[in-house]
Amino acid sequence: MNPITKTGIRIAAAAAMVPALASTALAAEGGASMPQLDFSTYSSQVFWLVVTFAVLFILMWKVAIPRVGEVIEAREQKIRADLERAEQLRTEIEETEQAVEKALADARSEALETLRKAQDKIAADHAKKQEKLDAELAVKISDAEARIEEARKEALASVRDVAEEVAAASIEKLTGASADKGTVSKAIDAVSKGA
Amino acid sequence: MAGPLEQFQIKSLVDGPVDAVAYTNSSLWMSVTVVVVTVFMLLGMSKREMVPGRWQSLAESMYEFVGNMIRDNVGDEGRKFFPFIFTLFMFILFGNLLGLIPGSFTFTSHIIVTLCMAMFVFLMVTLVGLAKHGLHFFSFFVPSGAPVALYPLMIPIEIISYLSRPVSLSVRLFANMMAGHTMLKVFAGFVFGLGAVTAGVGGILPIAMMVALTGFEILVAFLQAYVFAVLTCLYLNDALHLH
Repeated sequence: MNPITKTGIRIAAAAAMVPALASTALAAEGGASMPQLDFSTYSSQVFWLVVTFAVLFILMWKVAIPRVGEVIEAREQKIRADLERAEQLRTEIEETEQAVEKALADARSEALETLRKAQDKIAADHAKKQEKLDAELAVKISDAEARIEEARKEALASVRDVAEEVAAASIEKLTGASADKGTVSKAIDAVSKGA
Repeated sequence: MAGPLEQFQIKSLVDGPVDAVAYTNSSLWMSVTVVVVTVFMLLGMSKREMVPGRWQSLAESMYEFVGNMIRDNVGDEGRKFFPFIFTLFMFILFGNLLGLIPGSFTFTSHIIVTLCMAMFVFLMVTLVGLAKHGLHFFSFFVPSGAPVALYPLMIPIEIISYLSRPVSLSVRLFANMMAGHTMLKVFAGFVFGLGAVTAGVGGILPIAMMVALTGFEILVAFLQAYVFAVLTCLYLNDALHLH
């Protein structure tokens, strides 16, 4: 206890005495004798004080105080146990929460992984198909080109025949004489070369 | 009409084998206090409820009140004295409160009773101090920090103040209880005195005063029990820890 409270208690205790003493003094002055000063009653009062106080002390010491102490102790233990249990449950909940979050995060990353794999696979398939298609197309293009070239050659060849015939026919019509085939083809060759 | 001091008269109820230990009205109310305190504590705690009811709360709060008083004023070393201080507090408190019942007897209004308790506390505390500190206990009377030249003056003052502890402790309780009950009786006299000459009207004011005084006396009953117990704790603290 700090000295200020101590002094406070002393002052309060002293102050509490003042009116009491004054009034006691007044009562004593009143002339009536104080029964408190009758010494013949002292032995009986002291005797019964000691007896009753001792009985009360033993009853309190051995019975009442341990009983109250037990109940308070039991209550404190219960409260402590409950608090501990609450704390335990709280950590359990936290752990579960963490586990759930971890599972969620795992699932999410797994999903992402799967998605990425699928995308990669699709892209790869796509590229492969594109390549195949490109190759096929290239083959087809070259085939077509070859065919076109052939057709062109054929066409050119037939153009020559047609030209010879046309030339021969026109000579015949114009001159009336049949044209010499060799000369016509020579002339055409010369013309087509010059072209 | 009985005088204001007649209520303090010790009357023998049952003559003992010798007059010296006659069972008187004082002894009767000491016994009643023991019974009431025991019943209050034991029946209050009989259910041992985890969540206490009103009565059990009251019994427990008495226990905790004294427990806190000892912890605050003496510290952990005071735990040993818990049963004694608890008994002292309950005995005085219930003695004071039961004494307020009209027609009962207040044994704490007798100097010999309070002096016995105060002397017991004083001797116990001194013995505790001697047992704990041996002869070093007497350094308690040497004021710390005072110049040596003042020792011849200070040491006797300290010793006198130490020796006057049981006197102040006992007179404080006895005088408070006696004064309160005397005052109540005086006002009760006014009720009849003034009432008789004013056809009862004049008695109203003293009765109102008595009601107020009775409330005040309940406070005093509690306060004095508390002061007695707290000073016991402080003396114990001094003895255990010296300065």
